[in-house]
Amino acid sequence: MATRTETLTSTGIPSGKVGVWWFLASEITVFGGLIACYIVVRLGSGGWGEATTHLNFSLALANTFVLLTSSLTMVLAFAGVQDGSPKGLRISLLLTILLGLIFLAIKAFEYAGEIREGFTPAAGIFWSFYYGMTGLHALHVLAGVAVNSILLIEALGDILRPNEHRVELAGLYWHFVDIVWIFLFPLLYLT
Amino acid sequence: MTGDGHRPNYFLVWVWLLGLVIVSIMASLLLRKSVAVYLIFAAAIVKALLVAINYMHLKYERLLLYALAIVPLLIVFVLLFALFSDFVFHG
Repeated sequence: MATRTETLTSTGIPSGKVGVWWFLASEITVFGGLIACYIVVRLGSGGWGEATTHLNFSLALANTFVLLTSSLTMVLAFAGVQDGSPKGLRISLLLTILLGLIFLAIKAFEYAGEIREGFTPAAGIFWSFYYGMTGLHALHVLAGVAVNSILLIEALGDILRPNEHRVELAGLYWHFVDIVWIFLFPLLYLT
Repeated sequence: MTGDGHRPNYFLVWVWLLGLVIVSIMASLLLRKSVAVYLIFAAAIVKALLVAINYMHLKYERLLLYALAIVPLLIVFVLLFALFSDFVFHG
């Protein structure tokens, strides 16, 4: 939906949206490169199946539910913008932030358990990949929480209205982070 | 994009996403690993497409944005296949 502060590119697509998609394109190569390296190194060496048994599947499953649900609340925040419902926008943004924080808390708890058992990033190539990929992903969740918090503060102060299209842009990023987890979960915990 | 009033059923998409997670877990528990892997990653691809098409609204976007998503994926596949034979077949 076009709001008054949006500018259009020559393609007719809002410039902010094109910018975010360019950013996501670069992110696809970052996470895609990591995942591609993980796949080839794993297929080329043995013993990784045993390492994955030390991961906490239950916590990862809980985090999958949390992140998928946060994508729903994020898109509902955008629906709140479209419907002209400030209350819907604020509640959905707040829920998205809380779910993001819950994801990070569960991940931190999972890391603590693994490190207590001696599975640090230096414990082997699997663990280096595991901490590298999930750590980078967690940083992206943290960044998403920060962006959504800024939007929520603006929405609460009623100063977001001229820039409500930013909710859609923040949503694009948040859903991308969700998609990354959609691939990390089976790669690390199910295979 | 969705300003014309059409909107995906976001809750239904979410239910599908959770259902596909359950399918993946069942596959990992019940099927032979060599078979389960294909089903698990097929489910992951469907989940990613569901999110991109419905939540990221690619369904309503122009070709340019599809290109921005697909070109880096192609680059990743080139990387994957370039490394594959060296690591997997030569150790």
